Amino acid sequence: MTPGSPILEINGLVKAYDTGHRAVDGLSLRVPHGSIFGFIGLNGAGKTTTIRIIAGLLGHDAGTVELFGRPLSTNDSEIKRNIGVVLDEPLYFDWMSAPEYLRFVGIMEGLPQEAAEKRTAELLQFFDLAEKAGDPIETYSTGMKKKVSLAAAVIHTPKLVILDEPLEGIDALASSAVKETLAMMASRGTTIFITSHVLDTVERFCTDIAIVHRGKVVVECRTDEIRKRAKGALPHETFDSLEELFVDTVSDKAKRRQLSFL
Amino acid sequence: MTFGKQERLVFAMDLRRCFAAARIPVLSMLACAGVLLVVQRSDLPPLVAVCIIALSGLDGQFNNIFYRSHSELEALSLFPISWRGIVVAKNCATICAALLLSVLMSLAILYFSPRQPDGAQFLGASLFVWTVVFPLLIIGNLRSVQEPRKETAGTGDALIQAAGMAVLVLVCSFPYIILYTLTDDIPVTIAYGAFMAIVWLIRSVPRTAVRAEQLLASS
Repeated sequence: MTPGSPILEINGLVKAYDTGHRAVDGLSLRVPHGSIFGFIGLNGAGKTTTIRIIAGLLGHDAGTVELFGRPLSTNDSEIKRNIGVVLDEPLYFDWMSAPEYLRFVGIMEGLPQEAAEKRTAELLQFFDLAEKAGDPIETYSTGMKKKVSLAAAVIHTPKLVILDEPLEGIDALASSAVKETLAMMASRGTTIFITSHVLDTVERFCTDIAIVHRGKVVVECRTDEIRKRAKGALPHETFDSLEELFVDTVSDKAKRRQLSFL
Repeated sequence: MTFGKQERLVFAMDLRRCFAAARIPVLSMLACAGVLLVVQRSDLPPLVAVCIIALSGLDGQFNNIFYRSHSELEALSLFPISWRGIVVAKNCATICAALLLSVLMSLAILYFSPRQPDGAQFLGASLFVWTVVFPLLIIGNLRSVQEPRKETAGTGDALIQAAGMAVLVLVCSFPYIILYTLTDDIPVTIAYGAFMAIVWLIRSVPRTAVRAEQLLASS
């Protein structure tokens, strides 16, 4: 796998729920190897459903997903070993303490016992989790739980880290440390696939972005191309920021937002 | 299928979870019920009573194997380990938990029993566990994928579930009653247990593994 080649490729992905609602409706995208890929969209646009499908937590109705050049399979241990996942609703054995959980994840992901121990100690220090090391995760604050989840996602140095709203609920210091760590991982070849509603962070942090709207990718480009993109309505003008591009892309211009009392 | 490092870790985690502090009130109440049972019922071998009580306290362990905590099925699916390995590890942990709990409860219950067990009673209790545990695992695996329970039961619900489990244990003990208690045919009783163990390993485990994957995809 070389830089620029897709580590993740999705074509025509469809997922409908029992209600008939299509959360993902023909979504296609390519995530280049070594990129920091921002996957953004409004609430309910289909981001989390897509991430759950990529992580193997949810089936899909149509389309293809290829990871590391191989079709996604929930039984593929090699694929699972090379992925780290942080979901919006973190998954862990919350009756364990953070060190127990991180050691557990490390060994389950194939690390030798000593390496799992060593990395657990480092991660606890890095994320300021050592103070509550003896308590079960279920007693932690939302921010601390998120940090545990992040630590678990990177302990085995995966080739692809998938993060759904990783910066939500954590303090500024931890947020900065997380971004620094992810950037360092990316510089060493790890691909980062991230969703966030903080668009200026996405613009500064990501190398590539995709805007998903109503279950489809409507814009996919490199971040440095955003300011070169011509506005649809005003072709001689370009966008000033990702936020401007995003609002222009997803807002329903026909529907004016107005409050009767303002 | 090998029982590797990851399967051993799942086994240890599951066994530990079985003896979590939250279950102690229920297990204590069941131990008290066991004492009453062996004191009141002179026709029931005390060691068999201990096994019935111990197995009744393991409803979640048998019948809800994928949700020791709220999102355990999903969390396990992220690891590079086969579902078959997970099912075997969890079922083996359940067998160990049943044996450990039986020993622990025997210490409490037999203290109050008017009849002290002899060698024949140890044999009877061992054959009881041997004939009952694999049918319980087969039924439990099926229930775990058909009626998964994400929420951990409170003490009240856990007692109701223990009563349901006691009924299930009694139903699964019919072959033991027929083969051992009534006809005293030890080789056939052993053969029946072995047959159920094979059914568990070659049919129940793979089917549960496949159903777990389907359960995950549809969750």
